[in-house]
Amino acid sequence: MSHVLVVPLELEHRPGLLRALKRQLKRRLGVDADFGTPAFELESCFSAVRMQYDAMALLEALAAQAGPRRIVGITESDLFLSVFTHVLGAAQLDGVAAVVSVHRLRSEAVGLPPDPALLEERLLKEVMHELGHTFGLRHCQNPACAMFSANNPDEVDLRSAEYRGNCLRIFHEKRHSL
Amino acid sequence: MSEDPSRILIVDDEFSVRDSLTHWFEADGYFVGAAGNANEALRKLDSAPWDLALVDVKMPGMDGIALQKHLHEVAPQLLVVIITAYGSVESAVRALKQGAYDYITKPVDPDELSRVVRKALEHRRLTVENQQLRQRLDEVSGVDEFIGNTRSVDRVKALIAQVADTDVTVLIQGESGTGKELVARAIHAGGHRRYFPLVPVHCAALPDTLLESELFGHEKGAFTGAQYQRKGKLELADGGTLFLDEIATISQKTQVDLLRVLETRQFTRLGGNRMVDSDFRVICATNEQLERLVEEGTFRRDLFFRVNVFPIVIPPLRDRVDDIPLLVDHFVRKYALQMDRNIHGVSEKALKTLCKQRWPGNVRQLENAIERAMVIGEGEQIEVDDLPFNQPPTSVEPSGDTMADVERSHIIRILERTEWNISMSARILQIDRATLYNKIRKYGLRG
Repeated sequence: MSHVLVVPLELEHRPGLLRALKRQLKRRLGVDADFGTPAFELESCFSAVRMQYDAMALLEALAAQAGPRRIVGITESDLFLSVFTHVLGAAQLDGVAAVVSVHRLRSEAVGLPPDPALLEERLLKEVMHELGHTFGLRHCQNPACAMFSANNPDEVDLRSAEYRGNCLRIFHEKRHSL
Repeated sequence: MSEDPSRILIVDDEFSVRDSLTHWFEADGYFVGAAGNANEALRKLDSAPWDLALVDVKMPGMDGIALQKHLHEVAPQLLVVIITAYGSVESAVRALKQGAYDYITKPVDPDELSRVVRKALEHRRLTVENQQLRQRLDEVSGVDEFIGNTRSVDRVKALIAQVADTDVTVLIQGESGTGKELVARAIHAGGHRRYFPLVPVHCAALPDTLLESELFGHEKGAFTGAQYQRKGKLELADGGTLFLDEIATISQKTQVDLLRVLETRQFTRLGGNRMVDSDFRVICATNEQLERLVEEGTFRRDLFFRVNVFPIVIPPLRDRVDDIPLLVDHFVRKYALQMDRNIHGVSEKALKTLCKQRWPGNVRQLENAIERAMVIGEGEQIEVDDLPFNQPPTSVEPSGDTMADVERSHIIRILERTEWNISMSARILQIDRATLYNKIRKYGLRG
C-alpha cells in the first residue's frame, strides 16, 4: 500500500480538515495518508522580518524528515518564497517534499464568513497540485487539470483536483514511487 | 505550453532571486536563462535570442537601468521588465522612459508577475507576427515579381527602385500585356505608402459619367439611384496610391477635373459642395503614345505635363526574347502550384517555339498560353502540341444534342472570344477556374 506522510504545522486545531484530506487522497490517489509531527524546529523556518514561513526552508526540513516517502506539510501560516510576496504552496520538482498554506485559501482572508467545505476543496486541490510537482509534473495549460497554474484562491477554484491528459499519464508512470 | 517556449532571461545578482524565478517560470514551461550581472547578461544575449528580460535595478557594476538602456540599443526587439525594490518608483519611471516595457516591485506578487509576463509576451508575439506579415507583404508585392534579367528589364527595375520611396508622379508606358499594373504595384510596395491602399481605376472600363462618380464619389441624392453617400477612389486612396490605368481614354471634361485634383489634392463629391482632402500618390499607365495624343489635341498638354513627371517605358516581349525562358519557368511553377499539377517545365522544342513567337499580347499572352498548356498537357513537361499555335481550331458547333455537347461548344465559344484567357472565360461563364480547367480537360479542348 502507498503512503504519504502529512505533517500538520500548527494545524492541529482543524482535525476535520485533515480527516477530509486523508479521505480524499485515498479516494483520488489510492494512497494512505499517515499523520506525523515535524521532526525539526518550526521556528527555524519562520522569518520575523516578513512574519511568514519560508517555503524553501520548510521544504528542506520536510525532505530531511521524509526519507523515501512523499511528505506534505500543511500550515495555516502564510508562506513566502525568496523574491515572492507569498505563495499558496511549494514543492520540490521531482522530489519528495511539498508544503501548502491554507492562510489565503480561507474565506475569512477576503472578509467572508468561514466556509469549511470550500476550504477542504481548495486544500485538496493545492495538495494535489504540489504533490504533482513532486512527480515531475509542470504547470499544465488545461484549466481542468490540477496542474493548471493558480496564484490566488479564485484561480484555485477554477481548476479541478484531478490530473488530466499528459499529466495523468506521467503520474501513472511514476506513482509506483509513492 | 507550445512546442517552442518563450525564452526569458533573468538578470539579478541575488542567487535566491534567480533561482526562485527560474523555477517559477520553468514550472510554467518557459525556457529560462539566468545571469548574475550585466556583463553575463550581454554575453547570454549575444549567444542566443531572448523574448523577455527581467532585470533587477540594483546590481554591482553596470546597474539595471544602464543595462536596460544598453539592451534597448543592441536588441531593440527584446522586451525588458525592470525589477525594483518596493517604493523605488523613481528608478522604475526612469527605466520606463528609457524604453522598458513594464516594472514589478520586490518582493514580487505572483499574480502581478504572471500578469506582466503574460502581457509582455503577448505584446512580443504580436510585434513579431506583425513584422513577419509586413515582410511577407513586401515579398509578395515587391519588385521581384517583375521577372526578367535582360538590360531593358534591369533598367525598369532600377527606375522602380529609384522612384518607389518618393511621392513623384509616375507615368508607365507600354503595350497591352507588358505588366504595367505589376510595375505600379512594385512602386507602391517599395514606398512609404505601402501599408495604405493601392487603388486601381481602370479608366477605359467605365463610361465617362460612371468614371466621374467612381473617382470623386457622390453625395446622397446626387443622381437617380444615389441612395447613399459613396466615397470615390480618390478618397479611398488617402495615404496610399491612386493607379490610373489607361489614362489616355478619359474624356476632356474628366481630364479637366482630374488636373484640378492632381494640382490641389482637393475635390468635391458629385452633388456635394464640401471640399474633401485626400493625400495620395499618382501612378498613371497607358498603352498609347501620350505625346502624339497631345499633338492631336485629344489629351490635354497641361495634364500630360502633370502626369509625365517620371516616365517608365516597359519594353514589349518581342524586344526581350531572352527573358522568355525565365518567364515560362515562373508561370509553369505558378500554375503547377495553383492547379496542383505535376508539370516541371517545357520541352526544348516547345521552348524554341515559344521564343519564336511575336507575342503581340506580350507577357499576358505568354502567361495565357502557359496556363492553357498546363490545363491540357498530359506529361510532366509542356510539349509543342500543348501550345496554342498551328493547331486546327476546335469546332464551335455542337456535335450532338446532349447537354454535354451544348456545354462543350459554349465553352469553346467563350474561350475563343477571350483568346483563351482562362480567368476571363471563367468569369463570363460564372464558374471557378478549377471547374473550367476540369471541363477543358474533360472535353479535350484545344485552341
